[in-house]
Amino acid sequence: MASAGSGDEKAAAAAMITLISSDNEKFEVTEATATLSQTIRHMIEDGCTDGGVPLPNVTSKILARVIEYCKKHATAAAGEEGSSSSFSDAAFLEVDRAFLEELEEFDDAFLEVDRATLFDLILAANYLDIKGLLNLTCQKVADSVKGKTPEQIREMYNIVNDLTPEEEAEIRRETQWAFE
Amino acid sequence: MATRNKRRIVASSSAQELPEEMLTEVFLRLPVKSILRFRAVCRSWAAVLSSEEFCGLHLEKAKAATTPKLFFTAPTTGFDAMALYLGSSSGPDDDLLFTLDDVCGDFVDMTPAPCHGLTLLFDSLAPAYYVFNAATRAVTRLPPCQDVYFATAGLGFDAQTKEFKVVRLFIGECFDKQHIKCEIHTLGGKHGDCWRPASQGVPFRFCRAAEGAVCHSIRDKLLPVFAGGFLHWFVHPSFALKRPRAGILSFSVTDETFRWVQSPPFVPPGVRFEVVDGHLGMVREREVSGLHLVELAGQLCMLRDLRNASRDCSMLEIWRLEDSGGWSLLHQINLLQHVARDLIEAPIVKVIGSIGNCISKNKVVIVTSKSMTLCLIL
Repeated sequence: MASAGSGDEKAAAAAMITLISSDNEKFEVTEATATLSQTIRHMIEDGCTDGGVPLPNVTSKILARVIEYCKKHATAAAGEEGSSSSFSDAAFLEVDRAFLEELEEFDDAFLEVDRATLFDLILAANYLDIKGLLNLTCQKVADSVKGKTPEQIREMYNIVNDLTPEEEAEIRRETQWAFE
Repeated sequence: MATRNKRRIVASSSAQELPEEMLTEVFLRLPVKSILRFRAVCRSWAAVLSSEEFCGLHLEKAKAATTPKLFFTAPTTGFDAMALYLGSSSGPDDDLLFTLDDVCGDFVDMTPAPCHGLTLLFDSLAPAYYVFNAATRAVTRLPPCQDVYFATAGLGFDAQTKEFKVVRLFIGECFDKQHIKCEIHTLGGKHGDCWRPASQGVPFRFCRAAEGAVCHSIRDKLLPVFAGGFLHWFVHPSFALKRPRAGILSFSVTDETFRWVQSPPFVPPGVRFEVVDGHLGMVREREVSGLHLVELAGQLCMLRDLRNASRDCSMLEIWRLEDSGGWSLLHQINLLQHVARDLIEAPIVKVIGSIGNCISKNKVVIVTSKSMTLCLIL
């Protein structure tokens, strides 16, 4: 079972896909890396990746980061599949935990970017349909705002308060506990 | 026209380059408290965050979260209040749900896993019942009720009317015509903020078992378990002499009727029941100790603690009630494979719930009376 899995992996590793950013830069990636994107996976299944995959919505700067994410997480996915049979093995659980910690550290470091880059990553993750990356980046934004007051949010995002004082008072009164 | 333009500008600049669709993705990952608070940011945020569509999506996401929450309580530094914490969470700030003033943690009974998001909590000192929602952190104190000392209560969800019902079995005054009673409080329902008798009462043939359920629950600090639309009380065999294997009293939260569920084949009949100093007392056979009910992955299960059966045994068994009415042995856990011997010697080992939905990767959480929590992957 495990050997069959790694055989597939090797076959996948052999196939390379070329991704082309909006500013015409070319990136060579393995199929295993590229198929973390559902959008690209469908393109491969439809057999329309010869001559490269143009991604007119993604700049080379962002695409490079997205590929970095996919490479790391593709190896993670491969590792999980290969060892699911030895699930109950305590030694494996230890290895697994260490690996998950490493992955978490990678994700944390990966998210150390300015706000504009983070938003670009969200848009790219959405366009390429990479669930893990979309979740990671949206959660990062959510975490950065969740403890803030409405005033702080307005300041952070240059939002004009267009609620009348009465309306705002009404909202605050409705759920007083949320503002405490 | 002018206001529409203004709105446009606000919407497009609200999260700098994030289109509304992506903004919603972010909102969906916020805790309820932030969502409610952010409605006061501006009109367009208020519109999105108050919309039925968004609330529906947020609820679905909360339901789909693969880890149902488990709770535990702790006294606060002043010992005059109780703090409630979330078992699994990311940051220390998120762990504290709320504190209840004048409630002492040691005297609180609570179902560790919520029923459709709500949890019932009983403060035996006051005494008072509370229902709380861990997601919104809203706490409601239920109206006072009579004879709280000899009572057992559980929280269930009526799938037909979409109402939460707190069902209470209690032993009334001895001069009452009916000794054992059943009352129901419907949360936020049309019946108002009060307790009402169950529509069909407690039929005579269930009275003895219902009394047994009350006594057993109080003595072993066990709460009824809600699964499949029924609240289940484990009834000690001594209360069901004529039905030696009818070990579980179940109450349909929808129909408000009682029924029997046969217990697994191993519960031995005829445990002695004696009057000691004018009080009813139970003489337990060793093997019956350590039996309790628990809901795992939505189904009623029974834990059988075999550590008392023999000195060398460190086995726990988890039996599951099948739809057919029969029981099947779901797991056998050899505690020695997981923990040191001193932990195994804890007098009480309880399975409090499971995390994760798919049967093959269920994590079963076990607590022992030595204040240790074990998380096992089965």
